[in-house]
Order: sequence, then C-alpha cells, then structure tokens
Amino acid sequence: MISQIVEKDLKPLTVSIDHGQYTTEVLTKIGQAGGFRHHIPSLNNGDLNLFGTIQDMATISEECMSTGFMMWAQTVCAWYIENSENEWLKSEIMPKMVDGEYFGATALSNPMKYFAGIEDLKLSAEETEDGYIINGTLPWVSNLLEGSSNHFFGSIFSVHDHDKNYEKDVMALIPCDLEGLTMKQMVEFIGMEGTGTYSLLFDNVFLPKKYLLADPLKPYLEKIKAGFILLQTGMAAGVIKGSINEMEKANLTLSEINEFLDDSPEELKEDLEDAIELIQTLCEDPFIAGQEYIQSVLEARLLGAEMCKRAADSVMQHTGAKGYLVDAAAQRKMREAYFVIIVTPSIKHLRKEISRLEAA
Amino acid sequence: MTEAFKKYICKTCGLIYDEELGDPDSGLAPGTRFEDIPDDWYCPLCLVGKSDFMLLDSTKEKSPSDSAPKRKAKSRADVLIIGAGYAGWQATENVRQALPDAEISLLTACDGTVYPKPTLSMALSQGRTPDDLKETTADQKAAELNIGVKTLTKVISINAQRKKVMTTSGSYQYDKLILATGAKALTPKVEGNAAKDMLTINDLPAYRRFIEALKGKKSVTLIGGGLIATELAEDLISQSIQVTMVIRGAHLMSQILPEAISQTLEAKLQAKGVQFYKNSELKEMHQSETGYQLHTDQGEQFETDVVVAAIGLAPILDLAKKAKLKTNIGICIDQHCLTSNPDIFAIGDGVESEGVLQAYLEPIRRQAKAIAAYLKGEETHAFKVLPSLIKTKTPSLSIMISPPLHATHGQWESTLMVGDNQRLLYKDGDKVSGFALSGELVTSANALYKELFSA
Ligand SMILES: Cc1cc2nc3c(=O)[nH]c(=O)nc-3n(C[C@H](O)[C@H](O)[C@H](O)COP(=O)(O)OP(=O)(O)OC[C@H]3O[C@@H](n4cnc5c(N)ncnc54)[C@H](O)[C@@H]3O)c2cc1C
Ligand SMILES: Cc1cc2nc3c(=O)[nH]c(=O)nc-3n(C[C@H](O)[C@H](O)[C@H](O)COP(=O)(O)OP(=O)(O)OC[C@H]3O[C@@H](n4cnc5c(N)ncnc54)[C@H](O)[C@@H]3O)c2cc1C
Repeated sequence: MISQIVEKDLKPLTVSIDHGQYTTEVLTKIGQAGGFRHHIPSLNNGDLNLFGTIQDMATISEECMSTGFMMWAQTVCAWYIENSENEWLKSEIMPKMVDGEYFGATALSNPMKYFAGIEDLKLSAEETEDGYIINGTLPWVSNLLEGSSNHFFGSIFSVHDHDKNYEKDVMALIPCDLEGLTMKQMVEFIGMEGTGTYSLLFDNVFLPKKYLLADPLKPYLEKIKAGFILLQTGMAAGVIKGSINEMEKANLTLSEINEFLDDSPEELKEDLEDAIELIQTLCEDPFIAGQEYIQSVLEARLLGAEMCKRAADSVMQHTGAKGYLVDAAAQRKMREAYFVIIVTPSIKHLRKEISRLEAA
Repeated sequence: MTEAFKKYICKTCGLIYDEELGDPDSGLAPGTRFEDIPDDWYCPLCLVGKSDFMLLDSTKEKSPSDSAPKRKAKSRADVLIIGAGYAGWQATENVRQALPDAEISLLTACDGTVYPKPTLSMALSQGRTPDDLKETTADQKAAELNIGVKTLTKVISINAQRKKVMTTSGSYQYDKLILATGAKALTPKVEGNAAKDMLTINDLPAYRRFIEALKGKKSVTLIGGGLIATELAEDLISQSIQVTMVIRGAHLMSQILPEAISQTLEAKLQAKGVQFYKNSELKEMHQSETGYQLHTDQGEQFETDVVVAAIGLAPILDLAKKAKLKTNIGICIDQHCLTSNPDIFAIGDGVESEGVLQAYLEPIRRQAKAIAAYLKGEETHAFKVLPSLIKTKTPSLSIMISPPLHATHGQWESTLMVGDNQRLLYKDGDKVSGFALSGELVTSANALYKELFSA
C-alpha cells in the first residue's frame, strides 16, 4: 500500500517538495493507508507496533525524506497524545490525526536542549483558571500551516504565577489557529524546504486547558522518550536505502572504477539490515525503564546518523558528476542525510548523552 | 658500603615490593634483596612470578606518550577481541604468541590504556596518582603486539551468523571473536536528589573521578562491606580520611571470610576510626550544605563528603545476548573458554565456568592460555576452575583466604587461634574446601593451598 503511494502520489512531487512545496496530500494518503496507526494501540486493536510505523516511514523516506520527516512529526505527535491521560484529545483529535485529516508536529528541540542544560525554555506562560497565556518565540517547527485549524504541535513551556515566580514545566498540544500566534518563514534551508517549517511567535496566546498533554512533565517525558527517538530511525533507514539505490544504479556503468571507493552499496546494505534488526528488537517494548535500554536506543539512533554520514559521502562519490547535477537524486539524498545528522538529537548531542550515561 | 634499598613493582597488579620492608607475610624478612628472593616466590596479590616485577623508578620514565603510530583496526580480522581490560590484553598477547601471522584487531569502548586495576584500592597509600598508574597507551601496546586497535568504540551488537560486530562507526568482520567485556559495578537503588552523585570504582577513569571528588574532602562513606570496599577503607584511612561503611551483612567480607577473622579486622579498623553501620542499607542520599546527607533503612542519618558504592559486579551480558550465546549470571564458557557459539570465546570478569564466577587476575591468565592453545589446535592448557588464593590488601591485619567454590552446606571451623593469628578451615562433611588465615599464619598459605588443591 505505502509503496503504491510512493509510486503514484509521491514520486511525481519529490522534486517540487524539495524545492519548497508544502503539501498535505501525500500525508493524507499515508494516513488512509494506515501508515500512522501501527504504534497507536488504542486505534490499532490494542497492538503497539512501533516498528511498523518505522518501516512505513523508511519506505517513504527512501523516495523523499522531507515527506518522511513530516511523517515523523505526524506520528510522534500522535504518540504524545496516545501516551497522555487526556481523553478529550484522544477522542477528538488523535483519530483524525491518525487518519491523515489532521496534521501533527513537534516543537521539542528547544525543550530537549533545555533538559540537557544547553539553553533556556523559550516559551513561558501564566496559568489562569481555565488555561495558559503563552509568550515567547520558537525557531523551526515543521509540518505546519499558518492559521490552520487542522494543524497542531506538541510543545513544552514553563508556567509561572501572577508575580512571575516559576512554578513548573508542562506540555500541551497547540493548534495553529490560536489568536496571537504568528508564523514566519525566516530563512531558506538547503533541504527540507517543503516541510512547512516556521518560526513561531507567541504574543499573549491563550490556550485552553483541555489541550494539556502532561503535568507533571518528568514521568511523561521518560515514557515517550524511547519512542520519540526510535521513530526517527525510520528517516535514517529510508535515506540510506535511497542512497544505496542510487549507488546501485551508478554501478551499472561505473562498477569497475567504483571498486576503489569505501562503503560499497553491498556493505552498506548489510550494515543497514543489521541496524534494522537491532531497531526491531529495541521496538519490542519502548517502555523499559533504566539506563541500559535508553542507552541502547540512543546508540541505535547514533548508528543511524553515522551510517547516514557514510551513505551521503558514498552516494556522491559513486554517482560522480551525474549526482552533482541540480535536482540529481544523489545530492538530494546527501542533503537529506545531513538533516538526520543535525536534527535534535544530533550526532554531537547523542555522543554527549551517551558518554554521560556511560560515566554514570 | 651497602647499596640503598630499592623498590620493585608488579607489572600485573601494581604491588610494590620494598626491599627495606621485605614481605613478612610471604616469608621475606625486612632487608631481603629482590635478587635474593627465591624463584618460586609469587606475587601475593595476583600470583605472577618474580620475573613480572620491575624496578619502580623506571616506570615513571616510561610514562606513556602519544607518539606511537596509530594502528588502525582492519575491517576484517582473523581474531577480533572486544575489550581492553586485563582479559582483553592477556588474550591478545597469548593469541599473538600462538599465531604470529594472524590479523588481530582489538575494539574497545575505553581508551585502552594498560594499567594494573588491583592498584585502584591501594594507590593512595602507595602515593601514586591516577596518571602514575598508566603503563602504556593502547597504540603503544598495539604496536608492540603488531595488532590493529580502535579505542573509544563501543560494540553495540554482534551478528553471529554473518560473523561481524557493529559499532556506531562501522562494522568489523571476524573469523574468531573473543569477548572480554568485563563486568559493571553495581549501584544500590537510592532515593534523594543526590543519588546520581554516588561513585563506583571499576576502571581508571572512574578512579580518576573519585580522586577528583576527594580533593579537599575529609570524609568518605563506602556502601558495601566486601573485599573492594574493605580495601578502599584501609587505603583511605592511611590518608587520615574519615571512613564510614554501610554494610548490608553482619560482617565485613561475609561472603568469603569467616566471622572470627572479620571481627578481628573490624576491631582494628574501628580503632583507626572507621565507623560501621552493619545490617544496614542506604536508602536516601541528599545534597547538604557541605556534602551529602545519608539515610539508612535502620533510621541512621549522617553527613559525608563523598559516597562510593562497592556492592559487587554484574557481568556485562547485552552483547552475548544479542549474539544469542548461552548466559547465566555470566557468559557460559567451556574448558577452551568457548561460548555456546563455536567461533566466539569469552574471558575475564564477565564469564561463568562450571557455575562459578571469579573476578581475579589469576584465572584470566589461564583462560587466555586456553584460548591461544585452542586456536593453535592444541589440546593443552584446558581451563578449569580452581579455588582462588586471595591476599586482602588490609595492612591492619594480614589475611589470606581460599574461599570455597561452592559455599552451601559446609561451615568454617577454627583450628588455631592465638591472638590475631587464626586458621580456619571450611569443611563440607570431612572434606576441606577452603581456608582462611590471618596474622603471622598467612606465611603458610601457599603450602596449605598446594597441600589441599594441587593433587
Ligand atoms: C529544516 C529544519 C526543520 C526543523 N524542524 C524542527 C521541528 O519540527 N521541531 C523542532 O523541534 N526542531 C526543528 N528543527 C530544529 C532542529 O531539530 C535542531 O535543533 C536545529 O537544527 C539545531 O540547530 P542549532 O542552531 O541549535 O544547532 P547546534 O547548536 O549546532 O545544535 C545542533 C545539535 O547539537 C546539540 N547541542 C548543541 N550544543 C550542545 C551542547 N553543549 N551539548 C550537547 N548538545 C549540544 C543540540 O541539541 C542540537 O541537537 C528544524 C531544523 C531545520 C533545519
Ligand atoms: C579495586 C579493585 C581491586 C582489585 N584487586 C585485585 C587483586 O588484588 N587481585 C586480583 O587478582 N584481582 C583484583 N581485582 C580484580 C581484577 O582487577 C579484575 O578481575 C580484572 O581486572 C578484570 O579484567 P577484565 O578485562 O575482565 O575486565 P575490565 O577491566 O572491566 O575490562 C572490560 C573491557 O571491556 C570494554 N568493553 C565493555 N563493553 C564493551 C563494548 N560493548 N564494546 C567495546 N568494549 C567494551 C571496556 O571498555 C574494558 O576495556 C580488583 C578489582 C578492583 C576493581
């Protein structure tokens, strides 16, 4: 099913998405085909199949990782709701998100850095009886549409009382059509341009309490963390596979000289299979407590990013000048692969986190 | 004119033999010159021979530099070793000797520095810093053995079917694999906002953190009353640091030592100011103004500057499990140190043989020989579990023990007791399966060991 969507619906759009076209059309198709459902037990006959979602994300990313990234945003947002205790979100928003009628996003990059002690939380709110008045700015949140009542993103903000005394951090789902919320596209990226990525400005935005995902926050974050990270490996697996495909094509004519390169498609393929096997095992139970499991998850994610680095380099060298052309698939794959490397948690972030766990 | 006394150091465990002091515990009177020591003398801590000692001053000069050329690990090796502790390097040395032409590679998560781990519980009293303990760098050692090495590289999975291991920076094929991944220091589950500050000591980087934490501090609390905790207590009091021990059992080293000797040792440590909380478990660890506030399950509460847990080791099993090897508490091995997979060996603190786990240097040396012989196609040197002979690093009271391999049905019987000098035998019916000696009686340990176990 998903592979048919790739052939029929996605392939014709890949280049224009890469050039900056944002469309929800493909996401809707994926949702209808069940691609966002596997890891949401309450809508999947009680079955938690994280690996199923990752596989579908890989199939999409193999062709177009911008779409794969939006799929990650969508599926991780549904994961937030599924693991919350908010029955209203579960019945009113999540089913439509899983079906591809609503669109989900995540603004957790800044909070992740905040919890790693790298920067401050960029959003803060004053609690009122029935909601929160939020102020601040968030750089870079993807899979959004300005003013849309069908787009939502998960976000964390600090809460203070009337006298500005810090109280706590909470997480909520925020709809894009709230009053006082402006969205701006401030910069141009070298890739992922069609992912609907915006900077968000909050000017006394009122968010009703029914959108609350987690308070207290800490135990909730522990619960969603492994799933959040594991889902990203779908992007990595796909873009690596896509690079291998391009290398194999190049080898039809260049295999003799390409022998002299490191990281042949065969080697990468074997390593990818092993990595996928590892990810599959880790997906069996994403709620295992303790340091050992989460370290393995971070290592698997790091492995994905490091392999992206090898694939990005190798696909350029295997394809040569043909891959260096404007709109060549090889250089698109390279740019996409670098996104896996820098998106939070980036290679440097992962290495730091792993060495911290190792020392503990 | 008499020559000045010299000091010699055991390259394996870091024990220092001082000619001026001799080693009365093994029958060497003060003033015994190193060259006059009989050739059948053993290092009391790790049981290597005299030839493994070197003059102490020369170690300083030979402090490692980074000048050795990098020796890259090839992506394919005849023999691939994972881990660069004593077991990893012993295996590498022995395999290199047995197979001079083989392509050998070693991968390790640590930086691969060669250092004598047993010194970690006696370095303070030896006046040696963590840097003094470094013997060679991984690159130097690799050059010496003509192998490839990759440090700071953790193996995250093994594919036993394809015979390769995965790291985050690429994969490596092997023909034969040796797992020397050791064990992890356990920490107790403790509540409180400072629980994450609890230290453990099972490698050089961890020891360095401990020494850093100790700077300018006056008191240390040790969680656990086993061999390592006891040795650390002795080492700390030698530096006039106030030591508190929180012990779950009723006595020090209750797993391996009879109560009679524990009591004598406890009395001596107490006289030196060690405070004991016995039958007690740490429950909470909180930040306080100057250090930490600790609470035990017995309601005891006290302040301390540094907290070190030494409650035991757990073999690292995750890789073995990913390779679907047979594991119990450790990785199960046979007399060739083969695991349940005919291409994968295991050695060191992580293994279990005949249901026994032994985290000591001596069995590791015999395991390395067994692997090398087997790879060479020889049936010699089969590994067999022998009772260990342990000298505790407790200057307050000399102790040598050979704990029973299976301490289930028997009991300790005192056969001699004159003041601090005690001899106890572990009897299972009529059979003696272990012994414990203290005070001056330790000089008879070697003979007793031979008499009981070398039949
Ligand atoms: C096209 C695009 C789309 C994006 N979409 C989203 C989105 O939908 N949601 C979202 O939340 N974010 C999004 N981001 C942000 C992204 O996840 C990264 O946070 C961002 O690219 C990092 O930028 P930076 O300037 O902080 O880089 P850097 O500061 O170089 O940081 C890069 C990485 O290193 C880590 N890091 C930095 N300093 C340290 C340190 N001292 N210790 C440990 N780690 C450190 C950071 O956590 C980060 O992961 C997007 C970015 C781009 C380019
Ligand atoms: C304080 C102290 C005092 C001691 N005193 C004595 C004594 O007096 N006499 C005596 O005989 N014994 C003593 N011992 C015990 C002895 O030191 C150990 O039995 C021995 O050092 C264990 O060596 P090992 O190589 O098996 O394990 P380790 O030293 O733990 O080595 C394990 C290696 O594996 C690597 N590794 C682990 N996982 C991975 C992975 N996934 N990928 C790559 N690499 C990995 C690690 O980085 C490390 O290099 C003492 C131990 C301690 C801690």
